[in-house]
Amino acid sequence: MSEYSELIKNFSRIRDYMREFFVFGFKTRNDFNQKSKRTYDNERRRIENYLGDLTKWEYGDGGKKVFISVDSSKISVNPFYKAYKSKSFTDNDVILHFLILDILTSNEFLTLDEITDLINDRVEFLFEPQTVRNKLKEYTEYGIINATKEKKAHYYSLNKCYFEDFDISKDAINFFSEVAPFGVIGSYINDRIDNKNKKFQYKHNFIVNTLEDNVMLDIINAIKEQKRVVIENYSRRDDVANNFNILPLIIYISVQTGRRYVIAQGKGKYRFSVYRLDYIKENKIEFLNSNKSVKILEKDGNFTQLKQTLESCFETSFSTALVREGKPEHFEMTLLVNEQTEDYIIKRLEREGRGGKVEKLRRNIYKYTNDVFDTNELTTWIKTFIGRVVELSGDNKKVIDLFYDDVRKMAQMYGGNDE
Amino acid sequence: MNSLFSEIFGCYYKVITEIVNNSPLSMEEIREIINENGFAESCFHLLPKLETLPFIEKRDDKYYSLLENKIKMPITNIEKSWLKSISQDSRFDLFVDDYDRSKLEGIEPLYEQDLFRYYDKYSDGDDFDNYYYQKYFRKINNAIENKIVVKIVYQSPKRGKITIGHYIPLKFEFSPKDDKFRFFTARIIKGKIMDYVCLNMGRILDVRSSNEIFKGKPNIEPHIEKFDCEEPIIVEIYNDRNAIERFMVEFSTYRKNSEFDDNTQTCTTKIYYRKADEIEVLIKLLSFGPTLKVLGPERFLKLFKYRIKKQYEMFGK
Repeated sequence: MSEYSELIKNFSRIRDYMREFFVFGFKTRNDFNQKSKRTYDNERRRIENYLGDLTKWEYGDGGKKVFISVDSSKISVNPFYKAYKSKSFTDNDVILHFLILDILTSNEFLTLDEITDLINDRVEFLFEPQTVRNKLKEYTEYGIINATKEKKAHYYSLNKCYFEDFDISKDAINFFSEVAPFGVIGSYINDRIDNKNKKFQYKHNFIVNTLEDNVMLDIINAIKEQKRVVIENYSRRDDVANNFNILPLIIYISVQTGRRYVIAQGKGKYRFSVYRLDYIKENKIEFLNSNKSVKILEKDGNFTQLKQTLESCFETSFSTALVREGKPEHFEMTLLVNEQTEDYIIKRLEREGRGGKVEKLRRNIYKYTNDVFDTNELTTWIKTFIGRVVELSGDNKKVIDLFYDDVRKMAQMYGGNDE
Repeated sequence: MNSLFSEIFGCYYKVITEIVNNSPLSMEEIREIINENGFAESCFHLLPKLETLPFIEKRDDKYYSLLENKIKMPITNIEKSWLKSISQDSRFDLFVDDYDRSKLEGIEPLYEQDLFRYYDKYSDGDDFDNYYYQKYFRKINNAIENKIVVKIVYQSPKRGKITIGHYIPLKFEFSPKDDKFRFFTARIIKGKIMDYVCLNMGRILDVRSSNEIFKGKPNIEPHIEKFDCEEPIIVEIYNDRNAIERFMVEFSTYRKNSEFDDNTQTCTTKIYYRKADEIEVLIKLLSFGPTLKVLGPERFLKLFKYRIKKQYEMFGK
């Protein structure tokens, strides 16, 4: 039985537990039945260690539940970044890290043998040149070290390039660390320059999304190279995981619902499929050899054409229904708006309507119209106007009927029309 | 491309760097460094490890670095690429006037801006490219940094009324959904803090910096707490149309506390919110239709019921 360690080798397990504790927060130990109780205890302990007071627990009818309690508008730094700073390492890793950086700070253009000798002068055991070579290769790939080749020999130097050389405002790092894709990288920079955010806080910020950044990084690299990938997609609803061979085209983000997707070519030449990033598993055994969370395949020559086709689909999509063929559905919503006091409703229609047209029909009556491929996508938005919908009309009667039906159900739920 | 998850970015390496760069240190000082930079149990795991490292030596109850230099890790490729990407973001110029982009020449961006599409972002976001917006942002930012009193000409959202006042800006707030900056600020009248307010950057008509550094200690934090709701909203969510999952993800930006009832397959959640956001929460809850039920508090429930009743009555017309 292995000893408990605060650090972890694989990000995927902590990712799953953190998401459960934060997003849902109602599961008890018994509900985590996919792994052993010991695994649950270890992951819970790690999360408590990383997040401190943000991790809470309570006893309920089903037992003790652990949850992460955060108001994202009150924090200045995403607490989930801490999980990214928990990678385990070997004794060799840490010794080589500090000795190589120290040796190359004092010396330039050293060969592998020279570096190995200088390291071995300082340790009680001997490092094999191959071990040192691997670390130098890894650090060269990270850009920490430069390797130059002269007459068959590699010469290594520290790449003396630092954040300060770029003259970028520390405020910018603080801001983008929280709002830009892969903000955790800004957090790494902040750690090294001892920069702390005191000026910014964020509203409507889905901090949990950072847990998908490993997957997203592999996918965007595939997009940049126009390569197909195999992803393992887990369906929470059906509780099954399936592999899909896809050509990823774009990352599609909802800032209102907190969902992030990859849009990809699925089955058929012009059919687009949408996969939620939080449903894509990472580092599955079959992908481990490549050290990627998704399996990278060959380049696909259809990328550019598909991307153009996809762009045209956005014009008639309200959300994730991305279809090229067929006729869009027409939709109209007439609203009662008090022009004197409810100007903000008209502004809402304009700013949230995603390309829809807003027109005044008569005093206090406004109409919103849009042509979309799937009216169903508007249903949640339409319901935000409950209390002022005069009429809905359009091609998709099913969606319109569902709205009326839902309102009737709600009226019953809250005591009918009695009050 | 490099992995995001690496020990070189980890907090243990950060702690060891701090220790060797500040040596010699006592055990107590090392504990402080670990507590500040590590995790809750890092002292327990890391302290025994330190004595085994060949570049740290313990002598006379002090820990000495045997390294010849202070350790400063160069910036990595993935970090440079991220810097290049953020430099291409329209908000980057808010932070620096006329940035010399040649400093990032030859670096491949981690991502291009058009690789991401934010499909439901509000369309009336702030105009980050506007010359005056950038100028005022920098003035407000400078005022926050240096606690300087600024004179602000502001157009109120209500009926467009224009006001002029003196303020000490304290903290920015950004919303990716609204695509807008706001800032919390203390309002100054006759050299004293009158109250704390929140202003929209996009509604500023002019900012004049003064040379006056405010000597008091404005503190917005207790006032932000005052913006909180007195009682949480309690909702019951049904296992229908994937509502529980949708709700939990969508409300994950709020502090919440949930209980799941295995027998009824329903989830009861308390949502804690800012008073000013009450209508926003209300319409968000309405969007779930009959897949959830608001249980309280009474005042909020009344508002919710009123909308449904009004809609139900409109059917008859």
